Amino acid sequence: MESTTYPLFRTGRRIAGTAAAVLLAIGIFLVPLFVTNQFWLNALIMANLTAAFVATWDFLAGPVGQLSGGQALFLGGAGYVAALAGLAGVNPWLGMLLGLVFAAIAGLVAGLLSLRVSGPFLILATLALAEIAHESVLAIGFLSEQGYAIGGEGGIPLLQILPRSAEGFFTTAYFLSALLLVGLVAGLYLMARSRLGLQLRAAGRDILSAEAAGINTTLYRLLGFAVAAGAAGLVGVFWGQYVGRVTPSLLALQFSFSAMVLAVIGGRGSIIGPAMVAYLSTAVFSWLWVDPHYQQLVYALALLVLIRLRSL
Amino acid sequence: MLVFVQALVSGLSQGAIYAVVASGLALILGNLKVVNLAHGSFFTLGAYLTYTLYTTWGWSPLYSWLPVGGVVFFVALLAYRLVIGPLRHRRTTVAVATLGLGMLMESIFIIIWSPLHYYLRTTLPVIRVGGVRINLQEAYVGLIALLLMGLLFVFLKTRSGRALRFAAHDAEVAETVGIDVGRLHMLTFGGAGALAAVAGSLMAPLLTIHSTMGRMPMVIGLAVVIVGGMGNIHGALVAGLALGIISSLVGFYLSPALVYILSLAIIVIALALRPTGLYGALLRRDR
Repeated sequence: MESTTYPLFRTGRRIAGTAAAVLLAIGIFLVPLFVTNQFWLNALIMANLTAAFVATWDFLAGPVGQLSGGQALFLGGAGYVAALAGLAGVNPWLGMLLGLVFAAIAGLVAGLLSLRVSGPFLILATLALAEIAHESVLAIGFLSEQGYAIGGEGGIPLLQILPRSAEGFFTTAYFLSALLLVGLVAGLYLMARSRLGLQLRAAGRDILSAEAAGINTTLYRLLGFAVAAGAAGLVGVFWGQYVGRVTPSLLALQFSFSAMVLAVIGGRGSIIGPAMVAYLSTAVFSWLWVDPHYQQLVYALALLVLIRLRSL
Repeated sequence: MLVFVQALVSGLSQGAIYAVVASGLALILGNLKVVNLAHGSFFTLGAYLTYTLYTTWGWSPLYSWLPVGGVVFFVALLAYRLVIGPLRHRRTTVAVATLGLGMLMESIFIIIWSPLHYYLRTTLPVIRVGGVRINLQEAYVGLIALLLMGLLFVFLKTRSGRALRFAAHDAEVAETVGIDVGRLHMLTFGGAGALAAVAGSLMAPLLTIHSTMGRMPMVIGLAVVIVGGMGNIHGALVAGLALGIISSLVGFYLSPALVYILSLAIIVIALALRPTGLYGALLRRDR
């Protein structure tokens, strides 16, 4: 797919584009000045996190050039590892780090797979990996000594560094999530546009030419996966910390699928576009109180229509 | 020991159904060179339609698989015309499209039939034959499935069937000898959808009917296809029966959840270890 447009090619457009992006970023941070209602802050925090998640998928799809059908694995997996670490008595900060490490490793595994398997089969393989994780956490559950149900459908609770009952929880969480979103999107975008990004794209798209140019495609491919997965893991551990619980829905196919759809709608590869689309659609769906089933319907329809109208 | 025999018998019947599901996938993979991630949703559609036909008009699930198969054939044709056909030269895009189609169908199911899980009564009893309990409904389902596989094999020997196999092997040359490959692809997709729906229809009384019920059969079908040799229908039957027996034993002695996970693991491992081969070479050069 070569319709990736990095929209900042000419200097004038570059300045305008950068200005717009900076304004948008500032705007996101200013939201709590206008919104104090907890429900809305929560909805927007979710929007931030979802947008960050979608950006990681898009980084993988665009610069690295690989489509992942199981991005939720990195997000939910990291969350679960952090939660499990917490259950084992590990410090929550360390737990988050462990979650990140897990995500990066899982990313490497997916990256290794991508060297063997391409296109539709990679989508299938990553999807299968995510489903394995999903089914595993669904199936494994037990009662703790205090009689709480842990695992299975209800998920696992996390020890929150900042407890929900704390003063200004939502506002703080919002700032942190906004920071995560802006930081991640900016980081991924800049990485994509840098020389590293160029090498990643080469390794992803045309292995032969890249190797001929002296690029160690295996290394870059794996690096790209590790970055995308690690970023998703970062969102995942944050998500767990915010909600206070990780549930199997964080590993669900619906989640991976929506990331794919939103990225395609937003313009696969441009990272900022998908993040915006994800943010807007999550916020709008929250605002309209749309049933998740209808959400999926809309996403699937939008995907099919868009695919028909233009190439992926 | 008796329990083992029971699981074995049950496994053969389940295996026959897996073979039917896998055949549909194999046909699509062999001809359209694409993984149909909407296959499970066609299975589910078959089950839902069977349920509705029973509750609304009292049509017995023993026979309603026939009309259900017919209807879903046309639904699949329509889906192909609208979604897949125009894209069929871009394999990755098609895979995403089939995923989208599958998810779309799942959400439509919930909207039409509500998120409730449905149960359909079985019409045939469970009998005892010399100490072994045989579920006649299951046996019936297995027999019909084997019959369908037999019909499929016969079909593959006919003129049209050979055209199909020719087009699967080399679509370009098939075009030059006058085979309308585009139409063939459309009919293949329709046929595969119908097969999945028939399988779903037959299994409806034996399973809980809900919107994502088709995922597991599809995953198992994919595992069967990969193990049996991508696109190979005979392999699909053998691997299907084998996997049916294995999954029945695993499900009985260990845990049902493990069956799904096992199939998923087979898919990942098989893809990682043997992506090359006749189809692998074609697939590597992916857009």
